[in-house]
Amino acid sequence: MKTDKPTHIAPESDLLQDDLLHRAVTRRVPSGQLPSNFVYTTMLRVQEEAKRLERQRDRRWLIALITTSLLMLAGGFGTLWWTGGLDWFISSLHNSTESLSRPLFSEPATSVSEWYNIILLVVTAALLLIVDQLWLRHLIGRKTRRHKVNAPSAGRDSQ
Amino acid sequence: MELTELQCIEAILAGRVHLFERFVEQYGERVHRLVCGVVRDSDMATDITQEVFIKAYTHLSSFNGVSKFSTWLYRLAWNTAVTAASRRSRNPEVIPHSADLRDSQPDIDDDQEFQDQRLELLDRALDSLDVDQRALITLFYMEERSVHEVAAITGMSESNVKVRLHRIRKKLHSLITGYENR
Repeated sequence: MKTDKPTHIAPESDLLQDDLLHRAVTRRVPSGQLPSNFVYTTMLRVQEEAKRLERQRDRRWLIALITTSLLMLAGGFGTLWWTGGLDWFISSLHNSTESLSRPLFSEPATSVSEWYNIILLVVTAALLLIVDQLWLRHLIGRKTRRHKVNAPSAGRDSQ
Repeated sequence: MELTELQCIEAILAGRVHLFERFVEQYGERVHRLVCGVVRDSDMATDITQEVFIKAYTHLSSFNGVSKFSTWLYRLAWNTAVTAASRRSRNPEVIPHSADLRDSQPDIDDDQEFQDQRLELLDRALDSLDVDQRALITLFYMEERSVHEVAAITGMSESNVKVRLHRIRKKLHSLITGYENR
């Protein structure tokens, strides 16, 4: 029986003894049981939910990646514009495109600015990768919780 | 090696979704009984129980391990069931009367139960309680939980639970007295 009864029940409610209330409440509750396939159907829905969360996480990651890339690009152009180097950048980018169209190893890179642009591109790509792997995925993983959907393993995990 | 509940939750969050089955098997019946006590409709309770487990999976990362997993799950079940019962109480035509529920219970000896006048009166009085009050008294008396557990599940303070239970009992008493005086 109940061991933790409220000890402050007023004397006027003595009529409603715990036992009486327990019986009254118990008999009002339908005695139906869960269907036999309840665990199966619930797990099916949980799996669906897991996949939905995974899709949601991927979608958020993609949106965040695109947004970050655009912001980085805008920041780069903004800096160039602010420092007055936009014309220089466009002309050196034009030179780089020309040098890329030349046959490989036909002649060495013509100027330092071409190498500079290539290094700049590599550094930007590396930066974007670092931002994506170390910060974006972590941030989105935290926001959308750490739900991942792994392929089911061959054997059942021990419980 | 058997995983503890916390390890199991960590594993589920890491992607081993099938481990969640353990919780559905372990707590399914108890959650269903709790929900049944609030909504008083077995079929509806089954749907709500399933909804509770899906919610539990979706919000599993918010379980911080401070309370027991069962308490956290019951709290989720409680909130979902009370919301569903409140929504349904706005459509009173679909609320099954307690008498109808008794008819659907083959295990109960109807003759004996109907002879108990106090139980009948109490039954009527329970019908006239608000959803919240009925749910609270069901949780406390049917599930036989301590005030501490009820407080943890409902999110109320222990003193608040005691006060509410006291008020409900007082209300039930006055309702029964009213029925008897008619």
